[in-house]
Amino acid sequence: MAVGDAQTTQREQAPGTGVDAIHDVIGSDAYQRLVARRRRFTALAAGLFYALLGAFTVLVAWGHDVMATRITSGLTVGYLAAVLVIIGVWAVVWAYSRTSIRVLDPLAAEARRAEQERQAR
Amino acid sequence: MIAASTAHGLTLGVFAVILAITLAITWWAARRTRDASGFWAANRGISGAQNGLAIAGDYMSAAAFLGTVGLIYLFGFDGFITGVAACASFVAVLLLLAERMRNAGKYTMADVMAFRLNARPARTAAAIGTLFVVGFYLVAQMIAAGALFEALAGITFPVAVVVTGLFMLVYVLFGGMIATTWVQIVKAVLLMAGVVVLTVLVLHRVSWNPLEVMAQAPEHTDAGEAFLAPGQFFGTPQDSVSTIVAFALGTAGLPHILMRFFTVPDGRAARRSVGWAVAVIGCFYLLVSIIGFGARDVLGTAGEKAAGTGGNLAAPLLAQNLGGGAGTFGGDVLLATISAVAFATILAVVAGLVMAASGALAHDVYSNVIRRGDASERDELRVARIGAVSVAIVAMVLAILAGKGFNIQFLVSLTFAVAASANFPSLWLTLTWRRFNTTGAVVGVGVGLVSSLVLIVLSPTVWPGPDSEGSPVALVNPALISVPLGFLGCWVGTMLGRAEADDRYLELRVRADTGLGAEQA
Repeated sequence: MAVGDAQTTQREQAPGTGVDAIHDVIGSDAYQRLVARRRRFTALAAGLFYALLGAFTVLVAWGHDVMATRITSGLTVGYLAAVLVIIGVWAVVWAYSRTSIRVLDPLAAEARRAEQERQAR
Repeated sequence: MIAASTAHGLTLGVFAVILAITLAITWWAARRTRDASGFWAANRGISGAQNGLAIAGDYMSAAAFLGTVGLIYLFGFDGFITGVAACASFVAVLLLLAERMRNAGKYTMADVMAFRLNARPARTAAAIGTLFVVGFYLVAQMIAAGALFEALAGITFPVAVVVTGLFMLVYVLFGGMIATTWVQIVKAVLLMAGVVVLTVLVLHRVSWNPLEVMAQAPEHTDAGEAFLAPGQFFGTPQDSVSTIVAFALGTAGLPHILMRFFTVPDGRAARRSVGWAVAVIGCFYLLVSIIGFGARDVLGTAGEKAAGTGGNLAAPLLAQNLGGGAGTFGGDVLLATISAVAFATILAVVAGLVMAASGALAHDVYSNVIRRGDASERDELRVARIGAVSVAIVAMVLAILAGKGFNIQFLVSLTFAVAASANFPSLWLTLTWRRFNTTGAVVGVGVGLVSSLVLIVLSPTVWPGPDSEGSPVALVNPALISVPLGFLGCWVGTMLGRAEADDRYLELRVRADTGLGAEQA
């Protein structure tokens, strides 16, 4: 541990990489791209999903008439909105899984590989 | 009493079969539980799909099944809202926590916080948050179990509570997380099968058109058309918003759900388990909504009294009715099956809760706070089992003292409100905010916990008596106020506290993002 002051020693010792190595990983191109891509995905997915959930919430709270509107005999706007939120959850999970497999997992693997090679030297 | 004694006998028979299966699982699991990693994390050998089913089994409580069907039966659309919000909560779990928890933690939620913060105060705070959430939920489930057993199997309330507590202890003490996981998987499959059967029977009545189920509902209620719109259950807009906030964020602070992510081999499996869980839970709530509206069509206003407080018995009643009615063979068999599935549901949830409580007591408080990490694994596991027994005894005594008339909804809303207000802000900021420090975590957990407790006590459900007028706080669920207060507590504490070196934060980030240095399977 490079920073061996009193504060650091109060924390629990965890096996793994030391502080210098952490800075190497953080400085690596793969890690920077991983963080940026993950942040971009999370902001987009969370933004869209919580906008949908927020709209649902506002309508549940203040839009009783809108929610009661019938689309067909047994289907109200309210029920359709509720089903859309559940489908929205599935969509986020599907998109996250796809992005992870295509983009995030390979970048994380690259960041890990660089560090493991460095340790091996 | 909705069941005749033949139905009681059948219910007990079906339930005995389910119990025998769970005991066989426990016996099998006991031989695979040798060390701490086996006891708390099932040797990290649960696959993503298995863990997803187990999360669904851990999450879909008796309240989710009997309670949601009952609320939709009594109040229509409003009853469906908590289900939608509960499903939505997994977006926060997936995007913010699942993989990161798996990569950064070992056995408990507190592991993640102790990694970068001053370990003893952070662990203590997280353990207190865990024990409050788990404790309230456990007592609520025990009371639900007792009341159900009494109504559906003719066993008295205290006996039912003790039986539930004993089986829960057998799973946890002998089979640890492996037994708990498989009991939850079996339960998830049984519950989904039960829900599918009920849905098929409901749809069969209306020539397989789900929309027809809802089209008919207004004809069978005094509320009329309003039954299909919001506003029947939630008195004010603030109540509905607050409840949605509590459910949508609460899951991300439920220790027994987060603990499940430590049972899989890596972050990828943690992510997959959320996928499986929301697939199952989403389908579950969609089917439950059809069952709830179907109960209205079938049982009508005449069934409201028999369905009991909160409509909790609407689902078993519906099963009996669709099977041919009380006293018929088909009616008795369906009633017995659905009742037995409801008991299995409770057993799986309480076992998960006791696992989380024993983790907080033994791994966090005893091993790392009291013994400062020098306790042997043997000691830690001994204390884990003592902790599980103590928690179970306290929960059984509290449930029996509170009695079956106690308002369970109050305990469940407290669970989600405390989880969302005390646990979630600190956990999330630990993983994402560079400046966050120990004081921030301690103050955040404290403010979130105290504010949700105080607001619930002052709310209309509790103060000055159940469902009475004149309570100082109008909100039925405190989350709308207490979640922002929890975050505010984290921020104020961080600003007032001493800045901490950020090397451990950076290491936590790298670990959480890449899985470098994560606990190996």
